[in-house]
Amino acid sequence: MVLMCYISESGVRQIDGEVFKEIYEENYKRVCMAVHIMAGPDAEDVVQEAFIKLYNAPPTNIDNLPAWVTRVAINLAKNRIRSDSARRRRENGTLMEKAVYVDETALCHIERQAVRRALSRMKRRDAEVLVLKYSGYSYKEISQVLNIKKSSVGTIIARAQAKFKSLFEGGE
Amino acid sequence: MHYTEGAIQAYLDGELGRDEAKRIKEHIYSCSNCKEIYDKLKANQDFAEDAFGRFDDIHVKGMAKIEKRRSFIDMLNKYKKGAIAAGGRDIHDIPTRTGGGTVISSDFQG
Repeated sequence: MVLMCYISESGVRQIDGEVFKEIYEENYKRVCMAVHIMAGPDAEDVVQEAFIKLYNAPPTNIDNLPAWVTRVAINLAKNRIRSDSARRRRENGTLMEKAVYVDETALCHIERQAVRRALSRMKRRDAEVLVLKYSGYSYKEISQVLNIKKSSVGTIIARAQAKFKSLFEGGE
Repeated sequence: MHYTEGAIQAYLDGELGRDEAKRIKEHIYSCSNCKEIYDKLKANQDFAEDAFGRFDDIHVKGMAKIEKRRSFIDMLNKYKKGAIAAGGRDIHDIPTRTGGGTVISSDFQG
Protein backbone atom coordinates (compact mmCIF):
# COMPACT_ATOMS: atom_id res chain seq x y z
CA MET A 1 0.00 0.00 0.00
CA VAL A 2 1.30 3.44 -0.87
CA LEU A 3 1.71 6.09 1.77
CA MET A 4 -1.84 7.16 2.52
CA CYS A 5 -1.41 10.03 4.91
CA TYR A 6 1.25 12.66 5.33
CA ILE A 7 1.89 15.73 7.44
CA SER A 8 1.50 18.93 5.44
CA GLU A 9 3.85 21.91 5.68
CA SER A 10 1.57 23.54 8.20
CA GLY A 11 1.81 20.43 10.33
CA VAL A 12 -1.66 19.16 9.58
CA ARG A 13 -2.22 15.49 9.02
CA GLN A 14 -3.76 14.96 5.60
CA ILE A 15 -4.72 12.11 3.39
CA ASP A 16 -3.02 11.64 0.05
CA GLY A 17 -5.22 13.18 -2.65
CA GLU A 18 -5.14 10.21 -4.99
CA VAL A 19 -6.00 7.85 -2.17
CA PHE A 20 -8.89 10.07 -1.16
CA LYS A 21 -10.18 10.22 -4.71
CA GLU A 22 -10.03 6.46 -5.04
CA ILE A 23 -11.84 5.87 -1.76
CA TYR A 24 -14.44 8.46 -2.73
CA GLU A 25 -15.11 6.97 -6.11
CA GLU A 26 -15.33 3.41 -4.90
CA ASN A 27 -17.36 4.04 -1.78
CA TYR A 28 -19.37 7.23 -1.88
CA LYS A 29 -22.45 5.80 -3.52
CA ARG A 30 -22.74 2.74 -1.36
CA VAL A 31 -22.18 4.72 1.83
CA CYS A 32 -25.02 6.98 0.62
CA MET A 33 -27.15 3.92 0.06
CA ALA A 34 -26.52 2.67 3.60
CA VAL A 35 -27.25 6.07 5.13
CA HIS A 36 -30.29 6.50 2.90
CA ILE A 37 -31.74 3.19 4.06
CA MET A 38 -31.11 4.11 7.67
CA ALA A 39 -32.01 7.76 7.85
CA GLY A 40 -33.77 8.86 4.68
CA PRO A 41 -32.93 10.71 1.49
CA ASP A 42 -32.15 14.05 3.12
CA ALA A 43 -29.27 12.51 5.05
CA GLU A 44 -26.67 12.66 2.29
CA ASP A 45 -24.99 15.56 4.07
CA VAL A 46 -23.82 13.16 6.78
CA VAL A 47 -22.00 11.18 4.09
CA GLN A 48 -20.39 14.37 2.85
CA GLU A 49 -19.44 15.16 6.41
CA ALA A 50 -17.84 11.75 6.82
CA PHE A 51 -15.77 12.15 3.65
CA ILE A 52 -14.71 15.67 4.64
CA LYS A 53 -13.62 14.23 7.94
CA LEU A 54 -11.64 11.61 6.06
CA TYR A 55 -9.99 14.34 4.04
CA ASN A 56 -9.35 16.86 6.79
CA ALA A 57 -8.79 14.61 9.74
CA PRO A 58 -7.91 11.10 8.66
CA PRO A 59 -7.66 8.64 11.52
CA THR A 60 -4.34 7.58 12.94
CA ASN A 61 -3.50 3.89 13.15
CA ILE A 62 -6.29 2.85 10.85
CA ASP A 63 -5.30 1.11 7.69
CA ASN A 64 -8.78 0.44 6.45
CA LEU A 65 -10.05 3.86 5.44
CA PRO A 66 -13.14 2.73 3.48
CA ALA A 67 -14.35 0.82 6.54
CA TRP A 68 -13.58 3.84 8.71
CA VAL A 69 -15.48 6.33 6.57
CA THR A 70 -18.45 3.96 6.39
CA ARG A 71 -18.43 3.61 10.17
CA VAL A 72 -18.28 7.40 10.64
CA ALA A 73 -21.18 7.95 8.24
CA ILE A 74 -23.30 5.29 9.95
CA ASN A 75 -22.68 6.85 13.34
CA LEU A 76 -23.56 10.30 12.04
CA ALA A 77 -26.72 8.86 10.50
CA LYS A 78 -27.67 7.34 13.84
CA ASN A 79 -27.28 10.70 15.53
CA ARG A 80 -29.42 12.18 12.80
CA ILE A 81 -32.17 9.63 13.43
CA ARG A 82 -32.03 10.36 17.15
CA SER A 83 -32.28 14.12 16.71
CA ASP A 84 -35.03 13.73 14.12
CA SER A 85 -37.15 11.60 16.41
CA ALA A 86 -36.60 13.99 19.31
CA ARG A 87 -37.73 16.84 17.11
CA ARG A 88 -40.70 14.82 15.96
CA ARG A 89 -41.71 14.21 19.55
CA ARG A 90 -41.46 17.91 20.29
CA GLU A 91 -43.53 18.82 17.30
CA ASN A 92 -46.12 16.20 18.05
CA GLY A 93 -45.57 13.91 15.12
CA THR A 94 -46.45 16.35 12.40
CA LEU A 95 -42.98 16.95 11.05
CA MET A 96 -42.41 13.64 9.34
CA GLU A 97 -45.59 14.04 7.37
CA LYS A 98 -44.42 17.41 6.12
CA ALA A 99 -40.80 16.46 5.72
CA VAL A 100 -39.27 17.52 2.46
CA TYR A 101 -38.53 14.17 0.95
CA VAL A 102 -38.00 15.66 -2.45
CA ASP A 103 -36.40 12.54 -3.83
CA GLU A 104 -39.12 10.17 -2.77
CA THR A 105 -42.61 10.08 -4.17
CA ALA A 106 -45.32 9.56 -1.59
CA LEU A 107 -45.82 5.88 -2.31
CA CYS A 108 -42.14 5.17 -2.52
CA HIS A 109 -41.66 7.03 0.76
CA ILE A 110 -44.26 4.94 2.57
CA GLU A 111 -42.72 1.72 1.28
CA ARG A 112 -39.24 2.76 2.31
CA GLN A 113 -40.40 3.97 5.70
CA ALA A 114 -41.81 0.49 6.35
CA VAL A 115 -38.31 -0.92 5.86
CA ARG A 116 -36.80 1.73 8.15
CA ARG A 117 -39.44 1.04 10.77
CA ALA A 118 -38.67 -2.68 10.82
CA LEU A 119 -34.93 -1.96 11.01
CA SER A 120 -35.43 0.47 13.88
CA ARG A 121 -36.96 -2.33 15.93
CA MET A 122 -34.01 -4.63 15.44
CA LYS A 123 -30.83 -4.95 17.43
CA ARG A 124 -28.38 -2.35 16.20
CA ARG A 125 -25.80 -4.79 14.93
CA ASP A 126 -28.37 -6.90 13.09
CA ALA A 127 -29.91 -3.86 11.41
CA GLU A 128 -26.50 -2.56 10.37
CA VAL A 129 -25.45 -5.90 8.92
CA LEU A 130 -28.54 -5.88 6.70
CA VAL A 131 -28.09 -2.24 5.72
CA LEU A 132 -24.50 -2.91 4.66
CA LYS A 133 -25.35 -6.15 2.89
CA TYR A 134 -28.01 -4.46 0.80
CA SER A 135 -25.78 -1.49 0.11
CA GLY A 136 -23.33 -3.82 -1.61
CA TYR A 137 -20.81 -4.72 1.08
CA SER A 138 -19.22 -8.16 1.08
CA TYR A 139 -18.93 -10.31 4.21
CA LYS A 140 -15.31 -9.28 4.60
CA GLU A 141 -16.18 -5.61 4.34
CA ILE A 142 -19.13 -5.93 6.72
CA SER A 143 -16.86 -7.59 9.27
CA GLN A 144 -14.38 -4.72 8.94
CA VAL A 145 -16.94 -1.94 9.26
CA LEU A 146 -18.70 -3.50 12.25
CA ASN A 147 -15.61 -5.02 13.78
CA ILE A 148 -17.02 -8.53 13.95
CA LYS A 149 -15.58 -11.85 12.83
CA LYS A 150 -16.03 -12.58 9.14
CA SER A 151 -16.98 -16.14 9.98
CA SER A 152 -19.99 -14.95 11.98
CA VAL A 153 -21.43 -12.64 9.30
CA GLY A 154 -23.44 -15.41 7.61
CA THR A 155 -25.08 -16.47 10.86
CA ILE A 156 -25.92 -12.89 11.79
CA ILE A 157 -27.45 -12.26 8.36
CA ALA A 158 -29.50 -15.46 8.51
CA ARG A 159 -30.99 -14.51 11.87
CA ALA A 160 -31.36 -10.83 11.04
CA GLN A 161 -33.31 -11.60 7.88
CA ALA A 162 -35.68 -13.89 9.76
CA LYS A 163 -36.22 -11.16 12.34
CA PHE A 164 -36.62 -8.51 9.67
CA LYS A 165 -39.29 -10.54 7.91
CA SER A 166 -41.32 -11.14 11.05
CA LEU A 167 -41.09 -7.48 12.14
CA PHE A 168 -41.93 -6.26 8.67
CA GLU A 169 -44.93 -8.50 8.29
CA GLY A 170 -46.12 -7.61 11.76
CA GLY A 171 -45.78 -3.91 11.16
CA GLU A 172 -47.14 -3.35 7.72
CA MET B 1 -23.14 -34.19 8.90
CA HIS B 2 -25.12 -30.95 8.55
CA TYR B 3 -24.23 -27.42 7.55
CA THR B 4 -24.82 -24.46 9.83
CA GLU B 5 -27.24 -21.66 9.04
CA GLY B 6 -24.29 -19.36 8.61
CA ALA B 7 -22.65 -21.59 6.00
CA ILE B 8 -25.87 -22.00 4.04
CA GLN B 9 -26.46 -18.24 4.21
CA ALA B 10 -22.92 -17.62 2.92
CA TYR B 11 -23.68 -20.04 0.09
CA LEU B 12 -26.85 -18.08 -0.72
CA ASP B 13 -24.85 -14.86 -0.74
CA GLY B 14 -22.23 -16.23 -3.11
CA GLU B 15 -19.56 -15.83 -0.43
CA LEU B 16 -18.08 -19.31 -0.73
CA GLY B 17 -15.37 -20.60 -3.00
CA ARG B 18 -16.40 -22.72 -5.94
CA ASP B 19 -15.53 -26.07 -4.38
CA GLU B 20 -17.23 -25.38 -1.09
CA ALA B 21 -20.30 -23.98 -2.83
CA LYS B 22 -20.50 -27.14 -4.92
CA ARG B 23 -20.26 -29.34 -1.82
CA ILE B 24 -23.07 -27.47 -0.08
CA LYS B 25 -25.23 -27.47 -3.18
CA GLU B 26 -24.91 -31.23 -3.57
CA HIS B 27 -25.47 -31.81 0.12
CA ILE B 28 -28.65 -29.74 0.20
CA TYR B 29 -30.21 -31.95 -2.46
CA SER B 30 -29.53 -35.10 -0.53
CA CYS B 31 -30.21 -33.93 3.03
CA SER B 32 -33.75 -33.04 4.01
CA ASN B 33 -32.60 -31.34 7.19
CA CYS B 34 -30.29 -28.91 5.38
CA LYS B 35 -32.76 -28.50 2.53
CA GLU B 36 -35.33 -27.32 5.03
CA ILE B 37 -32.92 -24.75 6.45
CA TYR B 38 -31.98 -23.68 2.94
CA ASP B 39 -35.62 -23.18 1.94
CA LYS B 40 -36.32 -21.10 5.02
CA LEU B 41 -33.23 -18.93 4.54
CA LYS B 42 -33.97 -18.54 0.85
CA ALA B 43 -37.53 -17.38 1.58
CA ASN B 44 -36.24 -14.84 4.12
CA GLN B 45 -33.59 -13.70 1.66
CA ASP B 46 -36.13 -13.24 -1.16
CA PHE B 47 -38.31 -11.26 1.20
CA ALA B 48 -35.48 -8.99 2.32
CA GLU B 49 -34.18 -8.53 -1.23
CA ASP B 50 -37.61 -7.41 -2.28
CA ALA B 51 -37.93 -4.97 0.62
CA PHE B 52 -34.44 -3.50 0.23
CA GLY B 53 -34.92 -3.39 -3.54
CA ARG B 54 -37.05 -0.33 -2.81
CA PHE B 55 -33.80 1.56 -2.37
CA ASP B 56 -32.17 0.48 -5.60
CA ASP B 57 -32.85 3.69 -7.45
CA ILE B 58 -31.85 6.20 -4.83
CA HIS B 59 -30.58 9.51 -6.09
CA VAL B 60 -27.10 10.49 -5.02
CA LYS B 61 -25.99 14.07 -5.35
CA GLY B 62 -22.27 13.63 -4.82
CA MET B 63 -19.97 16.13 -3.25
CA ALA B 64 -19.78 18.79 -5.95
CA LYS B 65 -22.92 20.27 -4.40
CA ILE B 66 -21.11 21.40 -1.32
CA GLU B 67 -18.44 23.45 -3.00
CA LYS B 68 -19.37 26.36 -0.79
CA ARG B 69 -18.08 24.63 2.26
CA ARG B 70 -14.64 25.94 3.00
CA SER B 71 -12.98 22.65 3.71
CA PHE B 72 -14.21 21.36 0.44
CA ILE B 73 -12.94 24.38 -1.48
CA ASP B 74 -9.46 23.61 -0.21
CA MET B 75 -9.83 20.13 -1.53
CA LEU B 76 -11.12 21.34 -4.89
CA ASN B 77 -8.28 23.79 -5.29
CA LYS B 78 -5.85 21.06 -4.63
CA TYR B 79 -7.30 18.58 -7.06
CA LYS B 80 -8.75 20.77 -9.75
CA LYS B 81 -7.82 18.31 -12.39
CA GLY B 82 -9.53 15.51 -10.54
CA ALA B 83 -12.87 14.03 -11.38
CA ILE B 84 -14.50 15.30 -8.22
CA ALA B 85 -13.67 18.94 -8.90
CA ALA B 86 -14.70 18.80 -12.52
CA GLY B 87 -17.87 16.98 -11.64
CA GLY B 88 -17.31 15.34 -14.97
CA ARG B 89 -17.25 11.83 -13.67
CA ASP B 90 -20.76 10.77 -12.95
CA ILE B 91 -21.10 9.48 -9.43
CA HIS B 92 -23.98 7.29 -10.57
CA ASP B 93 -21.58 5.18 -12.54
CA ILE B 94 -19.82 3.96 -9.45
CA PRO B 95 -20.49 0.25 -9.23
CA THR B 96 -22.28 -1.14 -6.24
CA ARG B 97 -23.73 -4.47 -5.47
CA THR B 98 -27.21 -5.03 -4.20
CA GLY B 99 -28.88 -8.20 -3.20
CA GLY B 100 -27.27 -11.43 -4.17
CA GLY B 101 -25.38 -10.14 -7.17
CA THR B 102 -21.69 -10.34 -7.72
CA VAL B 103 -19.23 -8.02 -6.10
CA ILE B 104 -18.14 -5.44 -8.62
CA SER B 105 -16.40 -2.91 -6.45
CA SER B 106 -12.98 -3.86 -5.28
CA ASP B 107 -12.22 -5.13 -1.82
CA PHE B 108 -11.14 -2.92 1.01
CA GLN B 109 -7.45 -2.58 1.42
CA GLY B 110 -5.85 -4.01 4.47
